[in-house]
Amino acid sequence: MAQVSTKSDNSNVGRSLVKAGASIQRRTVMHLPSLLFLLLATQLPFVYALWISLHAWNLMEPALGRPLIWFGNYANELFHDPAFWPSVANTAKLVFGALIVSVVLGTLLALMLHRQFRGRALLRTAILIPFLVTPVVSAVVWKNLILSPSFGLLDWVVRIFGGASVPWLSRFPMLSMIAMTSWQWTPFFVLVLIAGLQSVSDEVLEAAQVDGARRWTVWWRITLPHLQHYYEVAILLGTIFIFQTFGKTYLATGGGPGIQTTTLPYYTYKVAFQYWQVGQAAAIGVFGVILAIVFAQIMVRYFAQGTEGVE
Amino acid sequence: MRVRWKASILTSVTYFIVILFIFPAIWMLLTGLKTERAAYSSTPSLLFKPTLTQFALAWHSNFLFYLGHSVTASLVSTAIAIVLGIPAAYAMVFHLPKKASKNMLFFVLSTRFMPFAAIIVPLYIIFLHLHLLDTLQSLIIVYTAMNVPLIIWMARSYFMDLPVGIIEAARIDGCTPYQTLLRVAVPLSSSGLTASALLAIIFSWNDFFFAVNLTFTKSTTLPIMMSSFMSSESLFLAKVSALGVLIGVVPIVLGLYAQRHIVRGLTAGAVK
Amino acid sequence: MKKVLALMGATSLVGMGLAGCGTSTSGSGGKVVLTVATVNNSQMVQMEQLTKKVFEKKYPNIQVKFDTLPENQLRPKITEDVATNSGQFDLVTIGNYETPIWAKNGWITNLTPKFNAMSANAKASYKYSDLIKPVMQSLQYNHSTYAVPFYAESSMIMYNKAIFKKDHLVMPLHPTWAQIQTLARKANNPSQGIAGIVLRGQSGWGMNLAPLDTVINTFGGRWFNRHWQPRLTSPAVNQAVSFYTNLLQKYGEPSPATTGWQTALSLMSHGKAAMYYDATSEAGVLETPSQSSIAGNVGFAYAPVAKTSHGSHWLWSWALAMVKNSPHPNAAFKFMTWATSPQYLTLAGKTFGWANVPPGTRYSIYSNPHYQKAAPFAHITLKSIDTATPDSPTLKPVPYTGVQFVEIPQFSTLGDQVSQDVSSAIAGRISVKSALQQAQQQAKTLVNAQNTKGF
Repeated sequence: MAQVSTKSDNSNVGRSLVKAGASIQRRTVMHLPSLLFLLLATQLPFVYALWISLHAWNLMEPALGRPLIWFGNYANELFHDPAFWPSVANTAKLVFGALIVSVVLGTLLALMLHRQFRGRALLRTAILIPFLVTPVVSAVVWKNLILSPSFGLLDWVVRIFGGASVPWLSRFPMLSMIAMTSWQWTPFFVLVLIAGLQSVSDEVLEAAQVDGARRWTVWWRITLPHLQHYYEVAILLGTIFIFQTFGKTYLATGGGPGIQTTTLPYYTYKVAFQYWQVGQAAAIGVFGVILAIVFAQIMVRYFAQGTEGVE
Repeated sequence: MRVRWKASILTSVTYFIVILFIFPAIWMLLTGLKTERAAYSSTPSLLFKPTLTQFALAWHSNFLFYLGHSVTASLVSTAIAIVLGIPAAYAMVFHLPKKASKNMLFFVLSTRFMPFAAIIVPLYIIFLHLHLLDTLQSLIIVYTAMNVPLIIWMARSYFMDLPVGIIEAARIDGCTPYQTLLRVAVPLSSSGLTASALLAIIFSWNDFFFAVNLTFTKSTTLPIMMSSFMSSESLFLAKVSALGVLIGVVPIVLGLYAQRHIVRGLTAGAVK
Repeated sequence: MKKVLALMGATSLVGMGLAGCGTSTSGSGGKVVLTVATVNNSQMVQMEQLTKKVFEKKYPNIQVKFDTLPENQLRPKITEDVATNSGQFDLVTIGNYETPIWAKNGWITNLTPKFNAMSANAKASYKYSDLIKPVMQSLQYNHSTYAVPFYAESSMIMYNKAIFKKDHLVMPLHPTWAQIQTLARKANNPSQGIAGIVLRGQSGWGMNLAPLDTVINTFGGRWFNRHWQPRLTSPAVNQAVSFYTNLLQKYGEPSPATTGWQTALSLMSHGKAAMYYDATSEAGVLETPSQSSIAGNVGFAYAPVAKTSHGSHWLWSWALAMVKNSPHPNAAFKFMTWATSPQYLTLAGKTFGWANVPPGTRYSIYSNPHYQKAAPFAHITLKSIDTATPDSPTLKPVPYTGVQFVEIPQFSTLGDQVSQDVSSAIAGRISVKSALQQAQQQAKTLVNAQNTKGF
């Protein structure tokens, strides 16, 4: 555990050497193949999508052709489509909601599993399972076996305690989605945070305890700051993946009731494959990308600052 | 004495919470062992006569056909992503100017943010013209594009962790960058790289969206088999649970094997 | 790590090789390979098995491959395929909503000339006139046939006889919606986990709008007047939608706004509901002991009515259509006429049991004594399908056809949006009145007399 921090010390030194001498910094083409591949595989379709987004293209009515309407689709989304802004808001709710639950629950579980006890390895292994179950399957299982007011486990528990059936998915649609998403992603946070906890140098902790610091103070002053970067990693990756959540919405709520669980990726799908408005869907997708880039920029910048702070 | 007592309570609580947390997965396994009728029961019971019918049914519905495609698509795409991503990550850490490196990282991550639904129609049309619809190649291309950012992100973390002195020494010894990468950097971060590879396999393995849109009959993968199990007019919970368990076995085994490595891999860079 | 990499390298080579082999579309030796997109209901899956066992033996030069998906995944996929002219499929399974629209778009082949060109023998054995009339009408465009039905359904009431007996209730053969409401109130028993009635509430035009539209029709409401002006805020529509939401909220299943037919069916089949108003085809599931705990105890009645019987029960069909640029039109026609022939129904009945024969397509199957015996709901099903009125779906004249949908391309968008408003109203988040005002607005934006020309 201490090794990790020594290592990073080393490399810090190393990196500053690099900066000073710039001896290793030679021109290279090693990054070009993957850059080229990503440009071809992701930007080619994206540019195509941009082009499509400037046209009115309804797949179901080929007779109408594909007239160029410039930014008509964009204007329509921003100013006329009553479902667009709610979808943006729902996306934010889902991502932030699931992140908050995963962070809190993940921290709690990580702390519990960081303790020394018999069977720790087994539990650490078991807790990962929800992260590894195919998301499509977990959506079906949650909808029919857990949250269903008639056949669900949760309902059964509620009834044992004398409560009445709760239609979770229709009364608390977004909360149910958040619960399902967090179930999948909490183990990932646990995994990362356990690693973080393990890398806190024992000597530092012991020193603090010798100094008579209280547990809470140690956690607040030493452990948590140390975990900061671990949280950042988990949150960044978590955001990327939770933002893309599609299968769960599709199978568990279909975006409803109304449009209460319709997120931007799901809405994009719906406009393209239920409304057949391919141009419109491309425009929504482009908004999604813009939103994501702004968000990623904030995160990467914050992340970069954090890195510099340590250096 | 009091401390030990307290500790054992805490341990029991830990056990309880973990079991509670993974209970939906346990429940899925149990449901896979039930009959369709028993699967829909309002008083869930742990005592039932288990049957392997559902597993047999899943197995005999051409499971191996789909399995082969899933294995090929996820392994090959991960292999290509590694071949592409690792040198890139290496260049970002040791060669590129800091600003260029950061820009590249940003670009790479931003490609992962695109809602998949936004590019599926363009992709469909592109693959149509390349005659790649319903081929494993199309899935491999898409999964590679999904996995390269992940590999770059993780490999970059490990390489940042390497002592620069060693890399420098290799260079002075006359190693080209590729030789240095293969002989020094990769062996030194092998466990982390294995972990990233496994994570990439798992993500491709679980993909549903691209597979359902880009494949038809010749290159369908396991999640598609899954959706063909959700019949439109009969009960399917037990069947789907059983198949879900079968599909889940691979990522679960891989994931559990890799868990230690994954932790290091994902966070090594963050320590810096 | 090296090992892992080496292994992956090896697999990738092998993988590419394998994938390369998979791309050849037609088999060796001049064998024709047909690709068919199917919905995965049990009858279609049985068709796959019979194709291997019987069809491919009879026509050794034709090999049939199936892409089997649930309805909501199938539709996007085949639309993508035909709209981009990508030619992955020879035959596609589409509904009677899609058929006229796809025909107008020139995506599918006119089958009438092919039927006319059949030999006298083939005509006699196919018995075109035996196909149920309203179903065939709904698969036509400009008086030509564009698809042949594999399976068809209407809607009816199914009820749990045990609950009815216990509560001393009697179901009339031709109930009214008012009677259904009374029965639902009396049978409703939430403390025992029993709903008075289960109905679809989940959004989607094929979900809650299917039963709701029949209620609107029979209450005398309509989507549009003759000039394509939306009529969704009219008193009749308001009354019907209020009735439906009220019925569901008071006596319906516990989570109506997210209940699709799937959940509704499982509730009914586990004795958790007294009544179920849904597709006639679900009767078969309810009567199958391995799937349903109420098998043998199910009663059937005609779809309830209010003001008019027009449009009180829906008409849906899954039909096989030939993609316009299929490279093997003759083989495709052979296959589609085989799968929808009277001989196929007999074959399916003998192989898989008579209760599982694809329902609703041919008159002759309903006079088959085996089928009558196996399917106690056969008579009501036939009568419901045969009396469906897609051409005059409600009391007043309308410019569209279709019972539980409006036969225009805009409906896939409009119907979905309106169904969302309805599910919000069912969840109690907005009032019926404001749901219908939103729906009216959406209809105004999407549909006008110009953009519906030709339907």
